[in-house]
This record gives sequence, C-alpha cells and structure tokens, in this order.
Amino acid sequence: MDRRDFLRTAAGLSAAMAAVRIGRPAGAPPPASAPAKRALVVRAHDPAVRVQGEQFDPARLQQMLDKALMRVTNANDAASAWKALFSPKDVVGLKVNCLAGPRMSTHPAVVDQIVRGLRLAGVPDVNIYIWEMKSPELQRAGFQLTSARTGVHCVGTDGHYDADISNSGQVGSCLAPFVSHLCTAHINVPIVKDHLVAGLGVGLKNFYGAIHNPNKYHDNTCSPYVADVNNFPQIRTRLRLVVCDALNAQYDGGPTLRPERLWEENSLLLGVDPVALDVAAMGMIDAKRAEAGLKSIAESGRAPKWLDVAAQYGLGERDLQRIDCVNV
Amino acid sequence: MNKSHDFIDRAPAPAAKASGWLAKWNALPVERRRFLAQVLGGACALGGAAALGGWALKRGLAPLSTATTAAAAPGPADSGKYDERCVADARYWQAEGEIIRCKLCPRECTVPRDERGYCGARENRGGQYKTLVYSRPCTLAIDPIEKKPLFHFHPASQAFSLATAGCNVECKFCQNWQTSQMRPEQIEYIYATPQDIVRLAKEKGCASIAYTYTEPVIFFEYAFDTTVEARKQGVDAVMISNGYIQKEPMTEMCKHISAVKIDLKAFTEQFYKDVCHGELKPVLATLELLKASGVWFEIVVLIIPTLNDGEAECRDMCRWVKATLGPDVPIHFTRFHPLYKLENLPMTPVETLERNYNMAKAEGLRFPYVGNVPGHKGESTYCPSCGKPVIERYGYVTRSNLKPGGACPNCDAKIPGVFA
Repeated sequence: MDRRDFLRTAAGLSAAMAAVRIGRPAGAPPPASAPAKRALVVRAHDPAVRVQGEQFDPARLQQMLDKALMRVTNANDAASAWKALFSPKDVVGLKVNCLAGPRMSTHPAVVDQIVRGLRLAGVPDVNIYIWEMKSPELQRAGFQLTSARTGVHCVGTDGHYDADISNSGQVGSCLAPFVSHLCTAHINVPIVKDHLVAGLGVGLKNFYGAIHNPNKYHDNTCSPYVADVNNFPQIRTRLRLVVCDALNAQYDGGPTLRPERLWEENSLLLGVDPVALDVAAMGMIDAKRAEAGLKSIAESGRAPKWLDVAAQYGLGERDLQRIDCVNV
Repeated sequence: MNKSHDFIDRAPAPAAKASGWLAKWNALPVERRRFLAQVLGGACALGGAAALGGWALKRGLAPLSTATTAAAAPGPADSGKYDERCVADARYWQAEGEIIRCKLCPRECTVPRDERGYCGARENRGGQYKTLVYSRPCTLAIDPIEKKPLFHFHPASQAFSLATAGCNVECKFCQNWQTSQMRPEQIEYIYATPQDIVRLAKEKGCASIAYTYTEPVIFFEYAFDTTVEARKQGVDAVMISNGYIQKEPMTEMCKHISAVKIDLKAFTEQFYKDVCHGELKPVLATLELLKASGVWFEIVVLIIPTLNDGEAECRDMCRWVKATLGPDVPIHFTRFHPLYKLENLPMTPVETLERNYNMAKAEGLRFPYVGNVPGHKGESTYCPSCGKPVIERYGYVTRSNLKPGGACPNCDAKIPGVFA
C-alpha cells in the first residue's frame, strides 16, 4: 500500500489536526464522549526498515515510531511525546499478538522500540509487562520470557486469571491480572490481519487475550463480544495507545499465518482511538483484497459488526468520514 | 442436617493437608498466589499441583500411573506448554476449506486453524481437529449415584465420577463454572487414561463411572473409550449431560452407556438462548433418541425463580414428557441456589418445587421428585400401584426396599429402572 492508497482511506484529509486526542488517565471519559473531535490514525511507512526477511533496522523503526507518536500527541520531540502519555508511576502492559507465530505476530523489534520510548517517559523497566495468553506463543514469535525483579517482564498469562468473574455486556470472564490489577496503562500492540470468524483481527480483537474464555465469544462474527471486552473499565479507561505492527499484514485467511496472503507493508499504525485504528486497518486489508480480486470483508459475510457496537459504547470513532488517516 | 447446598452435584474442591511453605502458600489469597506464580515462574505453580496431588493421594487415587506425577507437577496450567499426551484425534467433524466444522454438538462451531470451538476443548491444528482433554480429568471423586441424580439406577451404589474442563453451553447458573467454563490449560488436572479410570473404579468398588460436573459431550472421545473399556470389565458408565449433542455421536454412545441423566434446563427456546446460550430443540431430540434406544434415562429440571418457574411452562413440559417419553421417566425438580452469574436471584421456594411435583403427578407422570431439599418426602420413590415408599431417601442416605429386580415389596409391581 503506498502513500496515496492510505490517504485515500481517509475521507477528510484536509481537516485540521488540532483536535488530536492524547491518552487518557484512568477514570477519564472515553474518546467518543468528545464527539466534536475527529479521530486520528497515523501511519509511519518506510520500506527501508526491512533489512532482509524478518530483520528490521532498529534505527529506522525508532524513527518511524517516534515520528508517528509525535504526530499523535502533537509533541515536538520524542521524549515529550512519550511523556504526554505515560508517567514514571505508570505500570504499563503491552498486549502483543503472537497466536500465528513468526511473520504474523507482533515483532520483538517493534516492542523494543516501545520499551525504549517508555524509558524516555521515565517508566522503570520493572513497571513494564509484555504479555500474551501463552508463554510458548511469545517464544515462538521471538520474545524471550523474563520475570526478573529488576527488568522488563515478558510473560504469558498461562492460566493465571482472576478467580472471580467480571462482567461487561454479554461477556463474563476472568480477567488476566495485567488487565485486572497489575497495570495502570495499556499499550495495545496488535498486528493487521483478516480473521475468518471475526472479520478483522487487529486492535480491539487483540484484547480477547485478556479473558480466560475467548472461545465462548466467536459466534455472530464476535459481535458484540469484541466491543464488550474492550468496554471492561479495566481496559477502556487504561488504554493509552495503540501501536499496530503492520510490518507484515495479511489480507485473507487469518488468524493463522497464510504466507501467500501476507504482504510486507513495512508500516506502523498509531493512534489513541482503538476503533478508528481498526477501521483504518480494515481499509488497508480491503484495499489489498480488492487487488487480489477478493470480495471485501463485509461482502464476504464477515462484517465486524462489533465496530459499530464499540462506537455506540463510546470506545471510538467508527465513521471513516470522521477519521483522519495521516502518513508521516 | 447438612446444608442443602451440599446436595448439589458440584465438583469437590481439591483439599490437601499442607504444611511448611505449602501451607503458607495455600494461605495466600488466590490472586496473590497467581500473581506470584506469574512473576516467579513455574516454581510457585507447584503449589497448586501439590494440592491436587495431595488430594489424589488422600483418596488413594495416585499414582494413577508413572506418568501421573509428571502430569501433576506443572500445576494449574501447563506452565504454558500443553501436555501433548492429552491431545487426541477428535471425532465428528468435517473440513470446509480452511475451516473445520465440528459435528459433535448442534452448535457446529466453525473453527479456523489454531482456534478452538466454543467448548474450548477442541482445536483445529493444521487442518486436523483434536480433542485437548483426552485422559485429562480435572475432577475425580466418588459420589453416591443419587448425587447425579439417578434414582432408578442401582440405588445406593457409588459412582466413580470424573470431568474434564469445558462445556458446550454457558448456563448463567452453572455450579461448576470454575471447571466447565475454563480451558483445559487453565485448571489443574491429572493424567488418567480410560484404563486407569476403569481400574480405579473397580479398586474403589464403584458400580459405575459417571461423566459429570462439566459436560461429557465435549470430552466425548475420552468418555466413549472409557465406557467401552468399562463395559469390557463389567463396570457400568453413566452420562450426566445437557443433551446438547448431535444424533450420530449420541447414537454411538447409546450402544455402550448404561444410563443417562439429561438436564432439561427449561421448556422454552428463549430460556435456552438467554440463560444458557444453547437451544431446546436438540435437547428434546436427544431425549427422544434415548427413549428409542432403550437406555435408562432420567430428567432434571432446575427451577429458577422468575426464569423458568411458570406453571404453564411446567405443565407444557410434563405433557410433552408423558406424550413423547412416557409416564415412567423420572423427572426431578431441583432447587436453585444463587451462583455464578445469577447471584441476584433467591433460592427456589420449596412450595414452587412442590407445585411442580404435584402438577407432574396430575399430568400422569409417575415418578416426579423434589431435589436439593434434603429430608423432603418428594425425594423418595413411591410405588405407583400401592403408594408405599419403595426407595427412601434423606439426602444421600438411601434405603431401598425393592425386591430383587425392582419389584415393590408390598404389591410386587415392577418399578421401572435398572436394579440389581
């Protein structure tokens, strides 16, 4: 996808950028409670970031991330951008997505740059949790498990959920401790992929990894369940940022890896509106599906209706006309 | 008198006498334990495994095999790595392009690669469908058969009871949700093959093996193989089920199983949809199949205030049962206790259960029961010919007055059921 394609997904490219939202502290109202503001999704794209295969240039990744975040926060430098969203007192959870294994998982190289950014904001390493449902999935994606008392944690939930049920809409689940009580802030670090059941497997769907029983919530293209999961107060009030790893993306056949349907997008998508980011990512996937002669996700009977529900809940902007998709 | 709560067929909690560090560990709040286990790695998880191991030892259930200790060691989960001994080929499914369609239960989950069905116990692995709970019970216990409840099947006998993680519905009143609504890797387990289960049942003098607590449909392969093995060795097997299963697997099971108890959750599709995330129609089809198969079966209806306690619903149900299944099917109206996602509702008034009991009798059903009310006269079995009590019950204390073969000691009328 080139610059023009991405810009095409935005309806109002000329809109002013002054209304950029930044991360919300716990307890603050959700994004859509401020309807006058437009949503923003920033794409940082650099073909040269890929050195070879799945090797990436850290310096270029850093540049991509910082530039995008500066755009998201309207900050003049990287440190200010990170400080706009995170404070040294925060305990930050990074929810990665590693179900599909190498190539179709969050890249450790991206997470490394996020950790670097958090350090710029003064967040101590010991306050950073990189987490996923299962440890082997993290390992398979190239992460090294760590649970030292002084460093960054990288751990799987591995069955250690809350003992009691929490309810949100039609979802009743035991929450992962990172969501229920460990973390004061979340960074969602998903990938971009088509999903044969949910329609879309990007940011909102990624938090299915926070509940103990995601298998219960896959009928009706996962609607309204995806929205319900993201509407848990422990998620909606603590989600500060979405850093979507779009170095690779998959336009069909997810959630598992289908190499022949993967493209090297070499991008990061950033935003603080999780719904808007999913909408933008779906636009990218649909554009690629059209190139490949496939029907759109919606035309395939898998329209992610949960995006509409999420918007109704006030989790973010669903209307593409009200989302500014910006390249940096 | 026991608290009535104790009379629910709830899975027993593992109980180990711990000492030293284990006692201190067990004394910590659950969340704290989990947190520590998370941060400190696998070492702490051993506590949970030790508890289960201790529980098993206390009951003479370990070592199940030389592999059992190893299986128990990882603790509540597999510390992330799944115990592949418990993965076996699933039955009843078909490939539809890149997706697997499960044909075990009426839900017919469509499962992409690397994903699981609704039950959480069956997974698409590279285009092959696998059960993840074969030989992986999360609960083992010896219960009176009356706890299932099966009242007309070898009264006062013991049932070697087992369950694995998972369920194909999600009842908001589930009394065993800590196991039924979990994925296998999220809870403790013991590795026990069908042969292990049959051997243990025989060693413990149990007349039957009961698949219970969670939903045996979702561990069909394990239950089926255990049943076949049990029958070879002269042990009965009984299935305590919601009846939400497709015709073909149930027909196969009926060739080997000795008795079935079906939870008829209500008699409206709306209840099944709203409260259980299931369907009524397939359950009724299973009951009809059971009737046709000749397998002994009984029905339990948990009566929940405001949700399924209407008179009209009860009458409709009783009429359907009599017309379709006959007057001799025992039907248990049991008392609800607030649990899981229905903690806001009160316990069922005994009067409501008695009303249903009387209504069932009036509609011509010959063996209605009142359940979860220990000491109630509606717990006992009365001869439909002479009215004398033929099996007396007080909670799980049972005294059968039946003659050999199940005849009334007073009038020689044959009581339907399976009696020695």
